[in-house]
Order: sequence, then structure tokens, then C-alpha cells
Amino acid sequence: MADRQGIEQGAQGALPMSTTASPGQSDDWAVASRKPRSLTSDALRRMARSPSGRIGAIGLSILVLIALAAAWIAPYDPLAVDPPSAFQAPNPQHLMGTDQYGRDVLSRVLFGTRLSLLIGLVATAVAFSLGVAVGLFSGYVGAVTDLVVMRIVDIMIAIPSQLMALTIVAAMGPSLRNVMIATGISAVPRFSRLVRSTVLSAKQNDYVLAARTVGCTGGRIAIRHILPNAVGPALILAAIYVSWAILLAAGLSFLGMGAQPPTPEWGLMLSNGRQYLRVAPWLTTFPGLAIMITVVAINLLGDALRDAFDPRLTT
Amino acid sequence: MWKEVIRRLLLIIPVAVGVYTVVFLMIRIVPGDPVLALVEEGAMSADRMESIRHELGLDRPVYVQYFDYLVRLASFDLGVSFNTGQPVKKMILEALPYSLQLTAVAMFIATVFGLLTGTLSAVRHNSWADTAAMVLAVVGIAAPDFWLGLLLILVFVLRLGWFPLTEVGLSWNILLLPAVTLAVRPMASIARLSRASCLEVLHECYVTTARAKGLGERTVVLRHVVRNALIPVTTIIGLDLGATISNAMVIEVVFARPGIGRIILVAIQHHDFPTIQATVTLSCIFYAVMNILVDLGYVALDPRLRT
Repeated sequence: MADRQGIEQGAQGALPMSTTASPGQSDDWAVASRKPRSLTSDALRRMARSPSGRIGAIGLSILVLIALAAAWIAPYDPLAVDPPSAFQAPNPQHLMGTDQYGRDVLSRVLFGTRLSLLIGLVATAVAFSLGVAVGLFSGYVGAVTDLVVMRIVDIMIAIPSQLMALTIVAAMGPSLRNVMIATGISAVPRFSRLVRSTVLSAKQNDYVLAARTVGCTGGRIAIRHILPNAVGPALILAAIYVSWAILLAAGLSFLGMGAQPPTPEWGLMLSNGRQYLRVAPWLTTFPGLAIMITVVAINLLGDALRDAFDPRLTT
Repeated sequence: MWKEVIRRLLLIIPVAVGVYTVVFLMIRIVPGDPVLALVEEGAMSADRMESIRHELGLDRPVYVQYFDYLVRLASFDLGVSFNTGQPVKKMILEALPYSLQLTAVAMFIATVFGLLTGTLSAVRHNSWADTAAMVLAVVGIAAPDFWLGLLLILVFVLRLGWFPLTEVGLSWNILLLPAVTLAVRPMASIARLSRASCLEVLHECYVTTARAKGLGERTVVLRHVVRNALIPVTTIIGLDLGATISNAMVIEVVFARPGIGRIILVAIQHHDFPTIQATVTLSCIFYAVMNILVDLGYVALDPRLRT
């Protein structure tokens, strides 16, 4: 794209074209004097223009700020028990009310932001790294290994993800850390399938043949040449997966398999609030609202990211 | 075409064996001992624990347990639950109607209303209705379904009293709230996708031709647009089905419905190997069969796919 625009500008006379030098030389000059526009910067520009992308970005920034500054903005200690103030409806002292132990719900929700964002990031990191590793290995090595690995991946895809994550957490023991790992592992099949298909198409390129001719070892080719070209779609899937991971983890915590009391994790708070639904509905309303807002923000951002890199929309 | 269907049905068998293997291995890695889980009241002598272990067949070598249960699965003898002592097959058959009813009705609601909303949104592109519907769709996909379920219970059961709270049964009354809750997320994603799909189709030449022929707009939409827009939507329905089957588990907990999801959860908490193995394997077989049906739906929709 840079080449084309450089040549066009040269043809319009915006840049002086040397008549005596060879055509190749003048083209190089025209190209070299323009700031290079990469695919990434184009995509980022497109993202900045889309309204949903902007909302998502602003929302996510606010959430990250809350997560980082929770200790300073929260009015109370999220774990502080205060039995005399139990079951207060939202009021000026406790903007989101209190729970059965008198703990301030607002503070717990604010601190829960930290946990949820962390869960999303860790789970996605696990899914991404393992998925890329498996997909790259399987796609690059090919032949029997590829067949075997893909059969295993197919089997894992046959198990619905929440069920799979639940079984893994059950195997590892209920805890927040295990929920993060389990949520990550349950997405590895999808990531590895995606990476494998991009690796397969990247393998066809001439630069791979060139690298092999020059004497690069297989591992070097895989990591230095194929990997950078294959991770693109996987990164976009990762951006979209963060929100699913948060939802999945909240669900597991709701079932009691995740964060344990008294952690201020949103799913756990929902499970807690369920018992007191009739008398204290604010215990369920606010944590759920928090989950929803977080997921909406990340979803909007992820969708904008995916649309920005969509080749069909390239101007 | 039928050869293809038979081939895919047969392919389910190795996948089922694979799933069983994965589940078998995962639950055996658990440090928890199922016998210890049964011993809650007071201490039990080592002899008694040994004899229970022998009864449950846990003292056999692992590969023996693996093959034994696999063979029994194939002959539909699903074993006896460690936890409740009941035959697993009986437990599953009792719970199955509740789960099937919930999932089927939820997917039906999601598909019908999702398509309706998506198509209307596409036809009234960029109007207020369109924007509102899409905002609702984004919210619907993002909101945790168990939270929505709790909110619905709060409003319709506790405050308005329109639906019963603690009754158990298969009647419509009891089914409605859980089914609607479960339907929200697939409905939202189907709405979004069918809107995008319809928008693409609306620009096709054959739509212009149909209008030029003099067909009313509604006929054009119903007969040409929707049929063609349905094709990518069918993919999503297949994918959403898997998610819905696992979400049904959580919804069953929220609404206290006695379905398969609850059985799996209780079994997992009690290290109830036979139940976990049987239910998870059967759920995956069910999911695989549903996917085949969805693919058949593809062929029914798109005459170009019929050989």
C-alpha cells in the first residue's frame, strides 16, 4: 500500500521526480520520504473512529483505573465485618448497601474489578500461549503429529467449554487460581485450531522455502518467520476471549468452584446474594451489573479490534 | 447424503471414547478420595473403608477400571452412583425430561425471536428500533445469565408473584422463566448475526429483481432474504447449542430445576466417578448428534449443498 501511494504522489508531481535517474531510483525516493503506514497503525486508526470502539476503550480505561486505584477510592475495607450495619439498603453511607456481615458492597464491587480483570488476563494468557504453542507445533511439524494432535483437539472441542472448565476445576480443587487456569485451558482447543490454520497457510510462503535453503533449522524458521505472521488472528481472538473468560469464571465462582469466601469476587457475591434475594436484592443487582458493564466494554473493544483488522473493510 | 450422515454418526463413537478417556483421566487426577467423601459421620475403620473400596471397584488397577466402565457404557449399563447408591441410568432418565425441555424451548425462543429481531433490524436499518435492538443485543450477550435469572426471579416471582417459586414439574408455568433466561444470550447473538446477514443479502441482485418483479416488500423479505440469511445463522445456532447446554447447568441451579446439570454438579462435588463419567460422556454425544442435525439443516436450507 505504501508503494502505491508513494508512486501516485510522485505521479501527481507532489515530489520532484528525477528524469535522468532510473525509474527504480526515483520510486525508492518517493517511497522513502513518506512515513510508512503499517497495517497496525491503519487498524488502530479505524478503531479510534468507530463509536463502539471508543466507548469500549473509555469503559475499559475506567475499569483499569478502578482496579488499580481500588485501595484508594473504596470507602471501606472490603473484608471489614460490621454486624450492626448488616443488610442496609443503599444509603449515603453505603452507596450500594451492605451484606449480611455488614460489609460495604461498593467497596467489594470495586475490589472485585481487580480480580475479574486479572482473571480475564490470566485465563486469556494461558489460553493464548498454550494454544499458539500447540497450533504452531502441530501445524509446522505436520504429518502424523498433526493428525494426532488435531484429533485430541477435536475431542476437547466436543466438550462444551463450561463443562470442561468445571471438570478441570473439580480435578484441581476449587480456588480462584484454578479457575483462571481451567478457563484458560478450556479455550486452548479453539486457539490452537485457529493458529494451526494460519500456520498451514503461512508455511506455503516463499520466505519459508528461502529460509530453509539458507540453512535455517526448523525451530528457527517456526519461531522467527512463521510465528509473527500467524499470531495475528490469535491476538484478536484473545482480545474477544477476555470477556468470555470473565463470564465463565464468574459462573464457576457462582457455582462455588471458584473464589472462596470472603474474597470479593463478583460471581461469588452473586451466589451469596442469592440467599437473601427477597430481603436484600441489592446484593445481587450491583455485582451482576458490574460484570455486565465490564463484559460490554471488553466486547465492544474486541469487536472494534476485529472489524479494524478485517481485510474486507480495508479502504 | 445419507451415507455422509451415517459416516458422521459412526464418527461420534471414537469421539465419545475420546471424551470418556479425557474425563476418566481428569477425575482420577483428583487428590480427593471418593471413599473419604462418603465417610462424613464419624471415623470408619480401615477395614470398612477397604470393603467399601472393594464394593465400588476402586481397588482394581486403573486400566481395568477404564476398560470395564467403557464396556459397560457401550452396553448402557451406567453403573451405580457412589454418592446416592442409585443406578446412574435411573438418575439420568429422571432428570432428562427437565433438561431436554429447558434446552429445547430455550433454543426455540432464541432462534425465533432472534431471527425476528435481526431481520426487522436489518429491514429498518439505522432506525431507532434498529439501534435499540442492537444495544439490547450487546447487553444480552454480556449479561451473566445466572444474574438475569436472579433478577427475573426477584421481579416476577418475589415481587409480582406471577410464577411459582418452589414447585417442581414440567408445566409451562415453571418452565417459562428459566427458558427465557437461558434464551437471552443465544437470542442476542442470533439477532446480531441475522441482522448482519440480512443486510448483506438485501444488497444482492436477486432481491432487486424480486422487487422489480413487483413482489411486496414483506414477500421479498420472507421468501428471499430470510432463507439466504439463515445460512450463517445456522452455524451460530450449532455453536450456541453447546454453550446453551452448559449454561443450562447454571440456570438449573438458579431455578432449582432437577435436571442433568444439577446431577453433574453434585457428582463433581462428591467425586462420584460413575455419574460424572456417564453424564459428561452422554452430554457430549448429545451435543455431537445435535451438530449433525444442524448440518442436516444446512443441507435442507441450501439446495446447492444437496448432492
